[in-house]
Amino acid sequence: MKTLLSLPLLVVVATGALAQAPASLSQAPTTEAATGNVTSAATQKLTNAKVDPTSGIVSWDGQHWNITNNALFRARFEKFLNAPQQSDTEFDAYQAILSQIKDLLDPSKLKEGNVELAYGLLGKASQSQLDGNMCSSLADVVHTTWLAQGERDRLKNAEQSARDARKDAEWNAVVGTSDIRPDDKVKTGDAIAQGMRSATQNRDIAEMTGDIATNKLKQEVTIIQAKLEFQSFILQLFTQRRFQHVTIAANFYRNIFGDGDTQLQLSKQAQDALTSGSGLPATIGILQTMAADAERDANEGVQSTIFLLNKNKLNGATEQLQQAFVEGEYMPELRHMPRDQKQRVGDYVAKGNQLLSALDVKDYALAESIVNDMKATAADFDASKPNAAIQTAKVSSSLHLAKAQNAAVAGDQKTFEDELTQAGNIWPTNPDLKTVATGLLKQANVQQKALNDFDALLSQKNYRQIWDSKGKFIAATAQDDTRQKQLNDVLSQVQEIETSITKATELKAHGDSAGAWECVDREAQTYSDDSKLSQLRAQLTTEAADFVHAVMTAKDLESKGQWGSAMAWYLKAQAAYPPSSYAQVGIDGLAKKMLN
Amino acid sequence: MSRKKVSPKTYLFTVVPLLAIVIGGAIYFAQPHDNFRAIQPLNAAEYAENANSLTGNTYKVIATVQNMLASDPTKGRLVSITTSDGGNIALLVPATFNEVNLQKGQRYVAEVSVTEHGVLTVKHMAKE
Repeated sequence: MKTLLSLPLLVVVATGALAQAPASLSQAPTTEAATGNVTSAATQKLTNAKVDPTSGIVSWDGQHWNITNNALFRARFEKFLNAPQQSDTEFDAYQAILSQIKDLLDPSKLKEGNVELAYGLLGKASQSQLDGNMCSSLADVVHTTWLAQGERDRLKNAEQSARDARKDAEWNAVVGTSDIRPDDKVKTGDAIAQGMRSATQNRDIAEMTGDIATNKLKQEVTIIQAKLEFQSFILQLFTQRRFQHVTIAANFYRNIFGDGDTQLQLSKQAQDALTSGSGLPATIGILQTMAADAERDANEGVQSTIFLLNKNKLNGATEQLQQAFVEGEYMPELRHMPRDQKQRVGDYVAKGNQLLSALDVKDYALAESIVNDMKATAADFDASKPNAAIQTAKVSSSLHLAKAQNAAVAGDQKTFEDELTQAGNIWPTNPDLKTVATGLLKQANVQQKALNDFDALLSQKNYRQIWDSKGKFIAATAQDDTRQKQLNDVLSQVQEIETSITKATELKAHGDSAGAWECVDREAQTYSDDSKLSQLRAQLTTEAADFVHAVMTAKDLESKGQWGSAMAWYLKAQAAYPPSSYAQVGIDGLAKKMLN
Repeated sequence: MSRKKVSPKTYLFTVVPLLAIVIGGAIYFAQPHDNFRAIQPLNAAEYAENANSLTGNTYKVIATVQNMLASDPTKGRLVSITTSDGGNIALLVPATFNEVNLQKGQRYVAEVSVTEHGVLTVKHMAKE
């Protein structure tokens, strides 16, 4: 875990360090200058970098991101999951070469000529596609270092030649001046010439001394430059998580630079990142140890992944594989993992990404479907959080929708629109949203049509039709006081008719057709346009024909002033149906007339 | 003293006719007196059809009292009757007959006239 947490930070450190290193080397060939320039802006910011191990969130330079949940990582991880499994033959052959190189460079087995043999195998290893030309690059660095070492040897030879020349010059200068004694009478011209020669010789000696010093400095710079380049390359391998190559390169470094100086020339911040702020110097050995740890972690991660996959625990398997991938993307165990196993993880990751996308776009129906699918697929999938989010959003959206409906019914247009918008914001793909909105729009059209129909039927006095569609008209006229009153009047009238029809039907059922007719006929006096009433009246007229004839004749005769005859018919009707109110009223009316 | 013997002829020509007169008178007086025999009976169906057309006519009605339809101390009483031919009609019994106690089911013979609007008004009436 320590290695895992360190890796992202090291990527940052190394990115900054490597970006700056070449410029530093060209500008200032001293160790101090090189390390000083590695203290780049990136490494400065590194001091503020933090990792939350509980959530996998990295905070750096004001940014926060999940190690395993960013587009770059996802793309690489999916590429890995879909990559074919490397063939056993090629894999084994490649690993055999790397093992051979490691053996040759193993300090405990080191012999004369092993480094050259290992160097020769680098070319062979780089021919494998699995290598990604890492060994070829390593061979270049080794070769360059050797060239630098050869240059140092040449400079050493030049320095020695310069020292020899200076020695001769010093001798000549000493010998040349010793020929002249104080009591010698020399000519003035000879003395002057002798002095000038001596001065020239002294100047040459001084120049030679300067050249020797420069040459010595050049030797130091050349070797420091070579070391820095090699260290940069090892760091690059480390940040690229080529841990096998880190081990090999580190062994080459130790063998090539046999002076025991393996300290990395990095800024303090970068060193702290590598040594976890222990204050100990960062060395090639530390890199090598961390690489070995990462290699072991990645291997365990792969084994754990396969174990969890066999238990159908896809969630845990995915986390394990992601961590192993972060640490050792190019580790042979990861590359050699069976494709079908990777694709099970890949399918789970794809569903997880779909779930995140669905939640992002608030498509909770799809999210719920994916959650159910994932629960069925992965035994260890924790659906509680997505389900809570989904259900909360659904309930909240439904509540706003209900409020919108209530507002629509109450005619509160503003609240209706606000609530509908809020419901849509919470769950844009809520199927009820469309249904309700469409329904309400239709309702508006239906309402207008219903009002038009009501007006038409009212003008036609077709109360029966209004009664038959009373539900529609009650809803449509809810907000229209005038029409509502008209509707209530109509419904009251038809209710009265319906009551008479019910009563008449009951009387008829008991064989009292005359009474039923009289009941219906009385309503028909008022509501002659009611079709149902008219139909029943006609039917009852036939069934109580004698009584109806008597009553009708009586009324007719009465209207003609035939009181005596009318009375006779009323009496006949009463004899046929004694409870007849028509007959009684007619008799009473005529009796009154007759006595006046 | 000797009795004079009545001859059979005497019986035949005196007693038998006398006896016949006595029996006949008894029968005659035993029969109800019908003072309206000469009056034409009312045809109820015809009356119901068009009473106005009978206005001014006088008819004999044999009526069974049904119901008191209305009454006025000065104008009289209007009763419904059933005629001997089964018709149901109304009779106006003027106040002059107020002493007559009309009760449901009683039968009367009456002389009636058809007045204005076809109203049947009793002129004479007697319990049958």
